[in-house]
Amino acid sequence: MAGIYVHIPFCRRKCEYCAFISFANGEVLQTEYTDMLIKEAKARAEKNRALVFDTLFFGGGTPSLLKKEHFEKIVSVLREEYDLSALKEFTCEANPDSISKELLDFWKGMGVNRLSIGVQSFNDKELGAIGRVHDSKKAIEAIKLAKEAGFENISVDLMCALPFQTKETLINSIKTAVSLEVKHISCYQLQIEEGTALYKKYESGQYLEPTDEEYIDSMHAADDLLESFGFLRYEVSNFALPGYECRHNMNYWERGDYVGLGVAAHSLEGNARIGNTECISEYMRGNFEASRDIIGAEEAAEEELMLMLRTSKGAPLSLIPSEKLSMLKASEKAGLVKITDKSVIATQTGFDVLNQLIINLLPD
Amino acid sequence: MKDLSRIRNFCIIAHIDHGKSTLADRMLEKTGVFELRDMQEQILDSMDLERERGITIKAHPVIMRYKANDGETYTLNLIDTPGHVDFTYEVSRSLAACEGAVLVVDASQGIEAQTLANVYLASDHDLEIIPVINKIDLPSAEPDRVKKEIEDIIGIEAEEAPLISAKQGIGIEDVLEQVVKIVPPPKGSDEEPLQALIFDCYYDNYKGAISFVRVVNGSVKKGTEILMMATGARFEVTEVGVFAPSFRPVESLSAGDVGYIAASIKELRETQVGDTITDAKRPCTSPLPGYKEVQPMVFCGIYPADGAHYDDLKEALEKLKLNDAAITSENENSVALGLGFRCGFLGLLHMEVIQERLEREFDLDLVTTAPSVIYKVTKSDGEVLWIDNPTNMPDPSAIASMEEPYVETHIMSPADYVGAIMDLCQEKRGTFIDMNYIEANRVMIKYDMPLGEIIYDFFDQMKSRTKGYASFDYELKGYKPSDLVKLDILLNGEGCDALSIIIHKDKAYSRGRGIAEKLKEVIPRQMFEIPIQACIGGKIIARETVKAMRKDVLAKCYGGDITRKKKLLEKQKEGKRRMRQVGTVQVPSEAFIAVLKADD
Repeated sequence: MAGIYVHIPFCRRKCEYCAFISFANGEVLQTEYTDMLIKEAKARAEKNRALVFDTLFFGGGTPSLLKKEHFEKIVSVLREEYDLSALKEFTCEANPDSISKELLDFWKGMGVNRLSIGVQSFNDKELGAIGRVHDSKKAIEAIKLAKEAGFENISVDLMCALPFQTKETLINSIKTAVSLEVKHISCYQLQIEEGTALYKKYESGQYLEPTDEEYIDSMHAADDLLESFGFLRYEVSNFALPGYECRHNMNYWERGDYVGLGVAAHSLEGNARIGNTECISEYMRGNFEASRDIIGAEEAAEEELMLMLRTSKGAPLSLIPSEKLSMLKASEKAGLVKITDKSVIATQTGFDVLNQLIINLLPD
Repeated sequence: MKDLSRIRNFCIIAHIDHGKSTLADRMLEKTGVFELRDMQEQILDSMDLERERGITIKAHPVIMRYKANDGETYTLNLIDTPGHVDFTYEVSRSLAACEGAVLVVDASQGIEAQTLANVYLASDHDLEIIPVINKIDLPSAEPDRVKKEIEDIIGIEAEEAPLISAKQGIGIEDVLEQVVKIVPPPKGSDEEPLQALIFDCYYDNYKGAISFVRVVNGSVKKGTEILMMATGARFEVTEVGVFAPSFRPVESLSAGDVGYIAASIKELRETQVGDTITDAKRPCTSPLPGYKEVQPMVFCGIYPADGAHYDDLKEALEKLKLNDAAITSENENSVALGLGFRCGFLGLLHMEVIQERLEREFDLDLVTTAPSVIYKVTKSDGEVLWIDNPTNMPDPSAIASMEEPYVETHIMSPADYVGAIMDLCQEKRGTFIDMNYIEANRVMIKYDMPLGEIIYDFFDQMKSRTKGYASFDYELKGYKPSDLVKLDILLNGEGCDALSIIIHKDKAYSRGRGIAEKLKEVIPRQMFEIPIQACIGGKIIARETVKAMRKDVLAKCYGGDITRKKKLLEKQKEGKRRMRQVGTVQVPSEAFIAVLKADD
């Protein structure tokens, strides 16, 4: 397995919680950015000739803002330069407000077979608080539109710990998503990142973060409800009906190769973790790569443990160092993990304290 | 034959803060040892720590020339003494090197416990005592009352006692005059075989271990082959000199002189305080009286907070031991704390000073375990063990009897606090001996108390319960049978050796509860619930629980960027590394200190 990630750093408006690399007034940059992206894709193709890519993922930012001609150009270059003959999953992220029948038809024609829609919540008060452009009505319309256009593999992103959110409103959002027959739900906790507009509102006390107990209570309720609908929590923040797990993301956890193209994109090429520059002007000058870390065998094993513990497959038992076996036993006794013949798998309460689980099971 | 009539060897004794060091400074200033501009406050206390704590730990001698009113010039050797009960033996050796003592008493505080302890020591050595009343410049000064106190309590004439203010430089000459008049000149003869008393020693990086001596008989100079009578070691003298106050070499030292002897001695242990130095070629018949080997009384485990700094700690301890022969250290291996040292000290203050010096001078982060005394354990098979570490205590079933060291405690306090002090002493398992009113509103209370209680929190408790007005002193009396048990702490079911203590059975329950409560406060929440149990011989006597952490999870891993996550985890791991792993539980260093502060 191998994947390609393409970062489209444009947004209509920056959301109040966003700390990712995106530019609110980026449309003028689009043409030049597309050219540089293609330049990067070509430059890095040679090294990755041997790989067969089964997933392609356009993320952002807002890929739905990318003009057709640019999208077309990028995809055709990727098809020329990379082996996409066995492509199984082609995901585009989209915001409800930028989804149109026209765009959906175009994407469909381009081979996109999975949509990840940034709904975040079906509660308008919550959406307003985080500065989203759309409302819940728009989100529902967008999902219906996508289904009509023939997309059956649809994922929605939801957030928990939003301002004004209660366990009940979260449950309602989930129920709405399930009733729209989406196949995959990501449920991320709102992170209050320094430097974002939202950060100031929490700093000043305008909003209060939920307590750990409230958060866990909501998350458990969401988890239990989704399970009752047949969704499996196959990763700490991701739920899917069987067979609809996101292959592209699984590839990150399983440490398959991936080529990340665009500003701030990340790649794992063999034993090298490559980080692209986060500075758009650097990127536009063609200085793509900003960091390259060679991961040794030991570090790779630690990464695998840390990443696989996020998943329902769990981490191979063989990765647990012998001096941590008593800790593992204690964790099992406390109900934080299940231990099978070959794997250690986090339970629901294990996921609650996943960081602790990881640092306690990693070698010292 | 040398004329000794114009030599005076004396020391200054006082309770803490009564102005001993300031008076010493003024005397040096008056006799021109220091120009004013060179004066630093309290020159004799040269270690930073001593200056900060206002106490003298190491004694520093100094030589002065003083032209007295009788027109003669006298050589005055001032031997400063450590002012704390931990160093009683060192004080006694310093006193043995003198013929007189200046007793400094605070004009408003009057006589305190240490004043008396020091006076008794000085009387034991037949020293002439010159009472001096200091701080007369203070508005609260009551020199007449204090004079009467000195006469009533100590029983020495105080009518002529100089009234001085060392701080203001008032009355310093009166003191010097009395030293000349009252302190007798040394006896002894430089024609007799060499007899020199080591009253202190010092390690110099170039000269090796240097003995501070009072020559009682005979003489010594460069080239003399000397014999240490207690240790049997022989050396050739490389240099002799006096304290001016820095080392100043002289031709020779002879009867009546105070000075130093350097002889390329590599180990401080070979110049034992109290030992007699004689001439190997013409030895004296018997050593000077009073030598004893100094035995540590208080022990604790000292570990580097970060196990990687074990070698640094080892090196630092070696260096400190060069300068302080009273510290002992042995390797110790704790399951919880890893590699470290079991260290012995003269007392609690000595222990604190050394811990602080290790941290300050050697920039070490330490974890120290609860201090312990030495318990005497007699096993059923008759074998006797001396236990200074709870870990080594045999199984209760194998113990026939146990004994613990007792001290006689002298507490002086305003009468208002008698009740509070007696309550405290009772709580600390003391046995009342007697109580005397030394004046209308001041009492001296004597208790027989286990040393193990004194080293716990007695001093802090006494300070707080008497608002700092009471003073105390103690003296080791010997061992007494006691009903002692080992109190263990289990964290998540596993024993933590570094938290074990030996304690009297009657106190085990309350202390066990106190420790468990304290640990609950300092051990952070972890991913599962942690039961904290205090137990005696397998029986649980107290239990607390650190609740499990509810939430600690990383959010979205965006676009395959796992570096942010790795950094965050690395940071958390870093925090974890600063803790001690006890079984499956992470214990912060503070936990080991917290045990010392647990309430009963």
